[in-house]
Amino acid sequence: MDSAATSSSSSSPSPVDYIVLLILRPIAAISFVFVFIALGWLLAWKLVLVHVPLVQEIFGLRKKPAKFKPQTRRLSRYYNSINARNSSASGPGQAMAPPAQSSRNPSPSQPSGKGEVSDLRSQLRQLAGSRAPGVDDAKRELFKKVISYMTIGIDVSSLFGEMVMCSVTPDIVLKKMCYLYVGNYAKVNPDLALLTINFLQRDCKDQDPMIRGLALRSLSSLRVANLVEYLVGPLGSGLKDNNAYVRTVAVMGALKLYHISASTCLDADFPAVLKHLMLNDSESQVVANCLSALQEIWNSESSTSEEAAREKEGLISKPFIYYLLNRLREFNEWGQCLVLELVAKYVPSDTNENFDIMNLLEDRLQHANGAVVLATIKVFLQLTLSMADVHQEVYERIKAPLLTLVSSGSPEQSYAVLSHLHLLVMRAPYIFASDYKHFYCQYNEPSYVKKLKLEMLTAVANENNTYEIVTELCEYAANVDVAIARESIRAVGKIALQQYDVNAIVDRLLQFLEMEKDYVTAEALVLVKDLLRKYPQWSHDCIAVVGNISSKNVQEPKAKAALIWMLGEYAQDMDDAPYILESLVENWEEDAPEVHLHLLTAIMKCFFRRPPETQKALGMALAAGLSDFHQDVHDRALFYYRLLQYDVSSAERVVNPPKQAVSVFADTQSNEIKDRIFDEFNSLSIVYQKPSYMFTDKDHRGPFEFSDEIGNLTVGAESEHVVPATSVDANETSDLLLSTSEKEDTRAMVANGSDYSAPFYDSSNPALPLQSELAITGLLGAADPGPQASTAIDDLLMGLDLTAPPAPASAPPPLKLNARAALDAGSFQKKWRELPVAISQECELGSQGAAALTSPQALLHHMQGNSIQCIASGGQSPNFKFFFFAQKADEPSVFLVECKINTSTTKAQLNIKAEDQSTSHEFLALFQSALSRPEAAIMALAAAWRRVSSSAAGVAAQSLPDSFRFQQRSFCSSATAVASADTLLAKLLQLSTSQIKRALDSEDSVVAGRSSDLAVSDSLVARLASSSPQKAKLVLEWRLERMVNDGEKDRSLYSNLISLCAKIRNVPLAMSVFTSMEDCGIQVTASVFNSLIHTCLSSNEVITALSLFEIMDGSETFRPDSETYDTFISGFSNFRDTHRMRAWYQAKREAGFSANLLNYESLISCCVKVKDFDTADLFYNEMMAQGIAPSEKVLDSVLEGLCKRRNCERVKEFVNFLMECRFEITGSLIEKVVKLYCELEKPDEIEKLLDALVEFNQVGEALLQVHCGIIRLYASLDRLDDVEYSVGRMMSQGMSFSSPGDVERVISAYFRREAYDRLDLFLEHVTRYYKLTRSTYDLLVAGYRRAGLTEKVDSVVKDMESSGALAC
Amino acid sequence: MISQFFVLSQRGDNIVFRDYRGDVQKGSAEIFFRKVKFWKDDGEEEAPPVFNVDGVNYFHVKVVGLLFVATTRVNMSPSLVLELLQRIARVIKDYLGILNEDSIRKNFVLVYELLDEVIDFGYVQTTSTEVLKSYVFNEPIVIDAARLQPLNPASMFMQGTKRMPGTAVTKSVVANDPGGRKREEIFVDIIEKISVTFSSSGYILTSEIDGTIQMKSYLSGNPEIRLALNEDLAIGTSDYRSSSGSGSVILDDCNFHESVRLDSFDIDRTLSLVPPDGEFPVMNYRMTQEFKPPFRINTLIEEAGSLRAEVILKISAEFPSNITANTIIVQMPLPKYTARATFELEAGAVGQTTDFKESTKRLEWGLKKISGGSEHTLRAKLTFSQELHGNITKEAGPVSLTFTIPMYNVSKLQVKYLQIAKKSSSYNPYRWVRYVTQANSYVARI
Repeated sequence: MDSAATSSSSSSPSPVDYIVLLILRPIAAISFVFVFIALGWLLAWKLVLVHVPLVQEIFGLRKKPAKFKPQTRRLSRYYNSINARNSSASGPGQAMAPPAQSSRNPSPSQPSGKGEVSDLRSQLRQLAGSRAPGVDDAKRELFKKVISYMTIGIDVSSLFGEMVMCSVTPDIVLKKMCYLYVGNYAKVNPDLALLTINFLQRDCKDQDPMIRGLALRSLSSLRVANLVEYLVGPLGSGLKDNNAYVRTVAVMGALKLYHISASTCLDADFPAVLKHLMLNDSESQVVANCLSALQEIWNSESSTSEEAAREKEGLISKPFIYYLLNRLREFNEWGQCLVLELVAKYVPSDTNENFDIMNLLEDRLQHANGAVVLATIKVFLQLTLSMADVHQEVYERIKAPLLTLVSSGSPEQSYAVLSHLHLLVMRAPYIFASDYKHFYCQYNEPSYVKKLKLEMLTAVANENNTYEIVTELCEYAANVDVAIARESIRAVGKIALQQYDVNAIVDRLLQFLEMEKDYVTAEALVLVKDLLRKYPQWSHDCIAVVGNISSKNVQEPKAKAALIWMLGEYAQDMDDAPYILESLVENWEEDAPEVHLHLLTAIMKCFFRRPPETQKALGMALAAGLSDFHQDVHDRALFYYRLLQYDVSSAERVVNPPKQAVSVFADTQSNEIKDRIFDEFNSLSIVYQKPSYMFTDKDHRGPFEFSDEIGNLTVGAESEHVVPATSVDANETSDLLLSTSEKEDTRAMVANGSDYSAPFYDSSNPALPLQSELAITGLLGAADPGPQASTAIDDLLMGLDLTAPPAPASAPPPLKLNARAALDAGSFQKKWRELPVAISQECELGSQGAAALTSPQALLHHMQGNSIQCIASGGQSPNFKFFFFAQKADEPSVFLVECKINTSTTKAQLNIKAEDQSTSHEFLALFQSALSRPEAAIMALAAAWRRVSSSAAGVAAQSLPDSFRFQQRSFCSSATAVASADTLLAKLLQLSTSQIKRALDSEDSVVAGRSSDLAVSDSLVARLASSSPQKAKLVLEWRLERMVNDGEKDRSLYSNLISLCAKIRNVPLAMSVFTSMEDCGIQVTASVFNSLIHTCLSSNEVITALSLFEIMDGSETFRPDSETYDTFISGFSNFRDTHRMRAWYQAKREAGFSANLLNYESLISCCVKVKDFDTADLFYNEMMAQGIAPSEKVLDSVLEGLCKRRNCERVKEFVNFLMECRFEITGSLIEKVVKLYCELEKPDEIEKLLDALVEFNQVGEALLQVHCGIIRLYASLDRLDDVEYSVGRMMSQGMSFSSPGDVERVISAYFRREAYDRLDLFLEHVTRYYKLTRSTYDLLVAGYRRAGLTEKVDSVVKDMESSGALAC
Repeated sequence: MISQFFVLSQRGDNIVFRDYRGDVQKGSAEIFFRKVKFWKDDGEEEAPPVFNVDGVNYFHVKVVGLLFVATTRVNMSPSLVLELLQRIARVIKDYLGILNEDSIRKNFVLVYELLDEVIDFGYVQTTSTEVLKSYVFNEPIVIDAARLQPLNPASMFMQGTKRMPGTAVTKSVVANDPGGRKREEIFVDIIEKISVTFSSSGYILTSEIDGTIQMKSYLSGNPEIRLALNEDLAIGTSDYRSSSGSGSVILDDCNFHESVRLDSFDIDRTLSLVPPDGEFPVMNYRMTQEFKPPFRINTLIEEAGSLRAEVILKISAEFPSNITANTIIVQMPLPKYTARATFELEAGAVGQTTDFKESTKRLEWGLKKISGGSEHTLRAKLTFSQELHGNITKEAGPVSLTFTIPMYNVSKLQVKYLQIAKKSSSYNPYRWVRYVTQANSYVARI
């Protein structure tokens, strides 16, 4: 086997050999040849072909970075020189080698980036000098990498040199990236920035305008102070460049230069160049940039340079504003915003101009950009500030565009617009009252939008929409979003306090209390407390519900405090009040100090009413309070303790005096602040709801913002006063502003006339709160002069309006002033700066005083008459500002006063500085009495009137209508459409306010002030007054004008006009009627004064009314008559001020007049309303004793009193007495009785009442009321059989339900008992006589739905559709 | 003037940061983000778009989950800044085709270039894509449209109607198509957002339509376009002449883009404009005229014992059957003490999902599509953790609905024709006029 194998291999060629021979050898040969060829090619490639561009092209080698040899290139020499400078600048020891350089700027945050940075550097180096094709793309990639590192935060500033070097390229993308890089690092590395100057400057001369512009922008963005010298040249030529892009960039560049180095910019005279460009450039963007730049430059320069200030004024000069307005369309939307912002500052010289501008801008309101629309609106609002009627029309006009903006943009944009809408709604809620549905919240809106909307809903609530709004708000109260739920409950409360339809709302609030959600209960409690403070008459309804709330379920301090307050205040109505309070004291530790304070007071109050039950709790509370750590709690406990020790009865008078209802809760924002915010329309102030000085940083605020204000202030002032006012103001404004803002917190309810005591008051009457309390505190001070007691007294009295009673006009303080004081402007200024503000206070002016300010001159004369001199004054309606000074009669000490008067809000803001601080308060009183003394104001008014009246009528009639193109187009379409309407009233209601007078002129015959037509116009005014007081006022003004023009002599006409003024509560108008009457030479009589007083009282101007009375009292011809007293009695009765009402009643009798029925009506109804039933009874008996037959109103009040006392027996007696005496029993009378019985659930009594009524043959309304009452009562007791019986009985007497409420009660009763078949029968029965309302249908649908009776639901809906209830 | 502009991601990362004036500290982005994230002021859950921290005013808008922020120290017009931020987002979208974190990161150099031209030293220069085109040179890197999230607002056009090119809306205005040739086309979208509130008995309490006519033009050479609307269109409720006709469309108010010329609008209701590049709203309008709501919702809650209740939700589509509504989500807050909810869908339900969100106590019912005229019901059995007291309806609801209905608009406002004025007869670009109705706040109280 072995040999065979070897032989075969040697002797004959084996298959292996064949393979070698036939296959391997040829392969070897061929491959050898190929290797040769390949080697040849390779050589050729390496040596020659690679460098041939065409070949590169073909093989796509272009993109590959090839190696280059920088040394031989011109650019690399440049690079080397840079490197050399670079290293020398950053100190010795820096090697030329790149790796060493990278260690110079190690990135602290991202050490990992270090390796990559050096990697990038070497790559950049490679590319730097190359001009090879394709290298730009590679550079772009690298640059992107560098910039991405830069944005992430890796410090790549070490690549500066390489980057700069690489950017020497025509590729604009690369350049841009490089500029971005340079701009980012230049500020931190000023030395490096120097490197770039060279090539940037060269780029500024490039042929391509894009590159020129870019380079210029980068150059000016370097923000390096020592480079400015290189900037001036390129900027100068850039401003003259023929390409607009370069110019726009250059303009911004000049501004940048100003910020780097203001002096360089000013020295190069760039502002002048910019101004030239602004006025002449054809490109709007250049103009816009010039405007921004110049505004910034001149604003900051104007504080130091006269010229800049003048230039700044020039920006709002007429020619310039017109120039901009004419070009407005050329600007893009942002430019338009800029221009409009400026136009808003412009004050046109006459009304024609106003309307021209408004007509020009009107189409801007349709712009899709909210910023443009808001800027336009600002212009409109500012232009019409002094034209009340047009101003209101502007509101109407801008409503729709604003609402569209709110609903079209993103939530953020709509928030910005909504904030502005919010401001407008707050200023003029009645204009937006019909749009309330737009302010409903949508479930998916952000809470910041919802919050604004809720506030707006609260503001626009009025008689017509309250029901719907409150219904909507109640839906939100169950919202998942707790914050919004709380907010909406508060909104309901606020509406309730606005006194619209309080009844229904109170029920809703009480329903909240029963909702059993903690936060709902808590909010509702606080609201109910506020409500009771303003409307004590609701206590009965509220307390019943509040009594059911367990104090354990109330945790929030505020709510707890509210609950405790009510427990204390109404201790006599809540049976277990002392025990609840006691349990609260037992858990003393759990509560907050706020709760403790209330608890102490409440227990004190409770103690005075129910001593035996509360004694224990009081002891515990005082003990706990005395050992409390909280200072206030401790002090109050101690104070009460000592007070009780001293004398229990005087303690009662201190702690528990008779309460007066709060008429108005203090507003959180003063009017001044609100006006300031409004002036800053279309800015952040609106969103934050504070004026800008409260949130802008002082350091960053330019001084110009104040000088702006002064500019406004001095317009229209007399020239000799201007200069001192300005200079003083500029120094002091910032202080004053601060003081007003601080005062915001402390300014509680400053007495607004309600504390003013009536004359002839019997001061021995112990019920007088103010004086007796003063007496007590005085006594206390004598008995125990401890400091704690007195602080506690302050604490306690805080709530009693004692902080600032206005000085009585009748008794001026004993301070005497020098009538011929003199002070020059310079020393005034000096003293003003030196002295601290002694007193800063806001006071009511009384609107007649404010009206007198239509001519500030009158006030100045008047003050001079009071030895107070004016040194400077200024301002424009409605804001005036005066600086006064006065000197003491016997010594040289002076008082300085800054007085800001706002005539629209009739408030004056006083800042008094005094050299002798001790007498500053006396001076304040003197000043205020001078300021508010009405007879002087009336005289001033008369003077003003005489001057104005002759011209005013003509001006008003002619100049306005001519220029009304603006409204005619946009507002009149509705008016023409209803021209066919027949009555004048309808026409007036439709017309815009500005057109009323004209319409009246044309309808002359109907309302001409002739006596025969009086009735017509009276009813006209009365009806207008309810819907639009503004229009009613215009009608009255028009009538006055006519009467003056006709020289009317009939006194009764004027008197009548004044009493019409009372209807619209407009005292100034009444005053002007009065003065024009005097002008006509008509002798005034007591009755005219009576009308005036009536007007004052109905407008809540008590002080004016009293002063008028004094005038009457002091005169011969028109002494107060019986009617005068009547007016006061009924006036105070309307205020529910029993004390003063009684005082006046007393006064009337002392003056020798006897009381009449009218007086008793007022007296009794008022007493009943404030729950002083005993006094009411007293008066009633007195009246009966005098033989005066009671009127319906008196009976009504008496019965109400009896009902409120829930004295069933006496009510019954009284009703029987009435019927026996054959008085007519009215529906409202019987309603009260029925209500009482229903509450007490006494069906038998009602049945008896019904029998009695039938017996005495009383029919009509009263009988129906009783029937309905019976049904209601049975329904609420679920006694269906009785219900059906009484319904049948009622029907058989031919009567049917009077209100849907009763029907609904019955239906609910059926639902409760699930008696659906009987319900059907009932409905069938009832609907024959009674048309169901929508709410009834709602109830039915809801009831059936709950019961799951869908077919019933459908049939009800069908019924409803057919009955037409759906339509209403 | 604006001091800084930056874009933050949802996590608070700086994607883009540009400082224009240098008067606000560098760490402002962090301060801002912390403030927004932990906003708890006055019980408000969400930070308002404008707020002030230490004298610096921060403005922000949220766009597709990104925060676009501007800062300033001066008292500027908030409306201007917020509008600007929105506009910057739109310009970026025009350039990149799709706006999201990824596309901005990929194109940040382009974004910086844009920002430099939009704002100079804090002053706005221009926000028009058209104008910017001549200043901006970087090419956008368009990210793959296939990687789009399905919930992108653009997706509403992509379902159902096949003839519509899905990528069109996400196409960059400046980038060329892969084919190199630009397709000549113009899109006009009539998008209506409707808000309806039904009372508990099923009447409409409030209803409003907020509509916008949006245009996106890819036409070369900027030809003039005429857009004709309904001839019986009336604006303003005081317009007595036209309100008499029953079929007319009455807008409460509207506003227009600045490029729109209204010369013949009063006569024949046509708008003429030269559309600038990029997407922009031609007209925004608002109407409160009554309309037929597309969906009716019936809710029934039945108490079954003290710890149980059953909720029956029924929605019926009241629009023509050839139209289909997409991605309907019905939500209903349930009482706080709800422990569990089990669902029972109708027989043969396809593409419906149900969920009970434990944390918010909310019921969610999703339907992929509903065709017109159909009716769907959901039964949910609730189990409570505590005994019922009081009225369950006070604790639950209201039911809210979100949906999108393509090719349907409730206002009857129509684009009658779209005319492109260009001489050549062969020029016939694609014109897409599309209608969409979306729910803004569609709520039924129970």
